[in-house]
Amino acid sequence: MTGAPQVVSEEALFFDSPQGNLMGVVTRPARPTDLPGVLLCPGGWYGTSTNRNQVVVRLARHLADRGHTVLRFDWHGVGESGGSIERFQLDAPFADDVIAASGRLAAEGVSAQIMVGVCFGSRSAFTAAQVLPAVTGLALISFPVPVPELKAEFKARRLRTGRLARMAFRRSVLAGLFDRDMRRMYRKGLRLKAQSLLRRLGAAPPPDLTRLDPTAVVDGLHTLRERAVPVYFLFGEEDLQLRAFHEFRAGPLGRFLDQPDSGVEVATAPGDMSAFGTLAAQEAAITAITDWIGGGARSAALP
Amino acid sequence: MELQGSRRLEPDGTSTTVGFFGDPAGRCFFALHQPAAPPAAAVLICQPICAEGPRNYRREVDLARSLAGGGIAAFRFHYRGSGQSEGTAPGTIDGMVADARAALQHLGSYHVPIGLLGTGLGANVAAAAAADMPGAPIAMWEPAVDPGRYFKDVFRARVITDLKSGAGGGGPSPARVLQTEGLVDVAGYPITTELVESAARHPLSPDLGEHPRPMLVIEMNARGRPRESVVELARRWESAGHDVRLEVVEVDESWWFGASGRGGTIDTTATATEMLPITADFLTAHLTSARA
Repeated sequence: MTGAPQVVSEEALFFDSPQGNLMGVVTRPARPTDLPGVLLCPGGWYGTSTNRNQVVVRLARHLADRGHTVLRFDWHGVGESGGSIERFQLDAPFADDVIAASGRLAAEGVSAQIMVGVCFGSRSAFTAAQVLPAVTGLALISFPVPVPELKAEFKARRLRTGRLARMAFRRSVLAGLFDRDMRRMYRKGLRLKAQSLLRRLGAAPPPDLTRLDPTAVVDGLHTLRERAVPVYFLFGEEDLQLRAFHEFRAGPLGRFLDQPDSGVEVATAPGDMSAFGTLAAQEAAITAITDWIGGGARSAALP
Repeated sequence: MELQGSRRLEPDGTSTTVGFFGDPAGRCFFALHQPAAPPAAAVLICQPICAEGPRNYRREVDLARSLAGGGIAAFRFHYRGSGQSEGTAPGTIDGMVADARAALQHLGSYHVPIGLLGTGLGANVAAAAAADMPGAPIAMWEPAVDPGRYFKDVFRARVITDLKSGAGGGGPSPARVLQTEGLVDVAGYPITTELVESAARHPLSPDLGEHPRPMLVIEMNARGRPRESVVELARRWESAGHDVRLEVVEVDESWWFGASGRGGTIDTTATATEMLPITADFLTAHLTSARA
């Protein structure tokens, strides 16, 4: 477990974004340093800037403990922020909120910034970083490729038919037939499995992989490389996004990543990073990001 | 002690102040929603714990804003070791009650009638904090009537999560893990022996005291009818002289399983809001009549 750092100074504050007034919390180190500031962009699934079980809060305090000034914030329409939203769409990132937050972090007196985004936050950070000259590093946790069919496909393939049959006769599973939530889950699992089998037999169309234009991602990476901004992709081994990312590596993204001077590092850690659904995954993410910012973000700086 | 924080003026003339309060060794995050004029009353909002927090977060913000718009100050806060607050320990119900009492001290400076709202285990926190506030109205959303039963349901969420991820079936039960290791990971939240044992010391009924008070209990479920345990508890409270109103909001929300989403979209409108006007009306009516 990562040890709990001493909180030196945290301040809750408001700042404006085009979509509404946002609430953020700035975590300051014990003494001013010349290290880059860090902007933490939370995921959309969880809601507020804390993310699950304070994982973003803990990351902020660890980084402040190492001398970084850190800002986390609630998206517009979420948590304490003003404005309203109806839905997060992975292909419609909130770059304006990130740009506004970057401006607020700059007001802390840090000229260089490293951005860390989680899932939806990583999409938003990736988009904003391309137009923000202050960004000197970008860490993208569970960078999402919004392919609706892929999630179902992935789950269904993972659940082997033989295993499914054995599971069906377990006492705990049979007991679940009396439970509404469990029945709903069983129905969903069977539907996914049937869909997967139909695909294998050629009776159903393959997953739609067309919603994200990989060229846009590669173009963004080119822009960041021209500015010598290192990019760190971190995925959980159980992330749905990891498999989607691998699908895209087969195309132009792969050719870019295979270049020795791409400035991109791709790493994996155990667990599910998109939702931080376990304590172990949360710890792994904090350690990986803290280590990369402490070493990789600087050593990977491009010539 | 005066609250220090950042203040935002809202479009309707109310204001929101955010900051930290309490012991420098472990401060709590707060959000204070104030009316444009001096408040006629004040409400303390005690949030639920763990995964239930985010599912109710914006609902509580909206209620607080609505109360402030109606002339009632609303104080929301995060327990130590949760949300934006300092500390990383999961804490105990006793610690949460201490945080709530510290928050009540700040509201006491208004010298106006005070009411409370608690959600889930937050209702038990609110009840304990209100024990020495005779007559103070209290609203409860999905209260944890029986904390033992509450944690059984939480552990059931862990089992369902494991089955969904394909990891379930073989290992020891969450209750067994808690017993042997003192901590069980439920959907990325640490449930500790200390938390479970402290909750057992705070069942709802005794904490609400012997002095009659107005109570609103809102049940939220897809069945459209309250739990038997809640009906029985309401009956006992009524026979003890409390003024109890029991409402049901028919919703299909699973607080331990995240937001509603499909494909590349996360829908934030899938959260029910019917309980907001019911709660605002209840608190406003009882607090303003207390002031009169």
